[in-house]
Amino acid sequence: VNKKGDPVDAENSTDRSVQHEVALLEESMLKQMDRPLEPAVNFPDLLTRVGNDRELICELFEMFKEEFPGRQQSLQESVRCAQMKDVEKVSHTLKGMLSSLSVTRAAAAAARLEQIGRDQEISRLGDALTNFEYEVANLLSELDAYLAGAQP
Amino acid sequence: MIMLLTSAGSRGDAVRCEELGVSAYLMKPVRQTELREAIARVLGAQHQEGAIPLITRYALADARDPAAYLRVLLVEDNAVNQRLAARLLEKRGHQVTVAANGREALDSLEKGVYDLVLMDLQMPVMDGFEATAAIREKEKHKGAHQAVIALTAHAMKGDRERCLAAGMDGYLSKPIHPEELDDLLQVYVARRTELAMSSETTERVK
Repeated sequence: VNKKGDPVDAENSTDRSVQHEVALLEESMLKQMDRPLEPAVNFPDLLTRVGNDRELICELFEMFKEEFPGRQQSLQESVRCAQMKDVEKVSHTLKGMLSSLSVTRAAAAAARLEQIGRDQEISRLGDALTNFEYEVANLLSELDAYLAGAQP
Repeated sequence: MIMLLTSAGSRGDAVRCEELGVSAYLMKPVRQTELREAIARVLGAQHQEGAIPLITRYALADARDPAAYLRVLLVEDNAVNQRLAARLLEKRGHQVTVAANGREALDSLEKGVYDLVLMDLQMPVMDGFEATAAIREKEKHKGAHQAVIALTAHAMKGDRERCLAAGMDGYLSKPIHPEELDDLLQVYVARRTELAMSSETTERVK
């Protein structure tokens, strides 16, 4: 409500406030997308957890490469259809796989999707999926690079 | 006497070590017990005649008391997590059987004896809660108690209580951390060793 108490202006003011919030959100997302990509895999953590067994890491990466595309597709499909129970289940599985391989940021993104699925918050699905896909964008090429470097 | 400790093992290392006359080859991080055993064996081998085989993690495991090994039933549906958990257990010398869901776990328990069940919670066909409930139900008639440890990536507040309320004996969160796994296994190895010793004593009395 403006100083004169004009109701038309009140409506405009609310619109402006929402637009401002959206603009801020977009700005923060763009900033996040612009930041230089850090490695997806936390190798020091992974090496510690597997007792420095690089052969095992290679084996796990190969298995992950086979499993991941199908799981990611299921996630995209369940988000598209807003099947919240499926979003929760697939994200949970992805979270488990990713955290086992110390892909920590992507695992956190999967955990957010899982929570959104559990809470049935359809409005937050799109952004959460975008964030997840951003975090896994270079993952497979990173795994390939590691596997190529590990060849005897 | 040379003991080689490496953090980056690769194929063919053991052969090269033998060629160079290295006595032991261990992968870092080395557990305290493993290092102690390796040193004892290297020193003991000093007085041995003839070719002395290279001491590795696997050679140490082979020489250990069978009661120090556990028969573990790993119930986990995801292939990556299955492989990782199985390998971590096998590296510690334990014998692992894998089941992909609660139904398969019940079948395995019908056929074999296990010291420990590591049970994932969310699985297709039959989840960990349902499987544990079925195990506890059968125990009402049999009397014995099967140790079941929840293995889960839930990591949510109240999960531990939920697992215990469902009849599980403990909780191990995923991703598995070696120290937490070692602490857990140590408890069950101690129980198994104690059982083996008491049954040995009973045999002697007879």
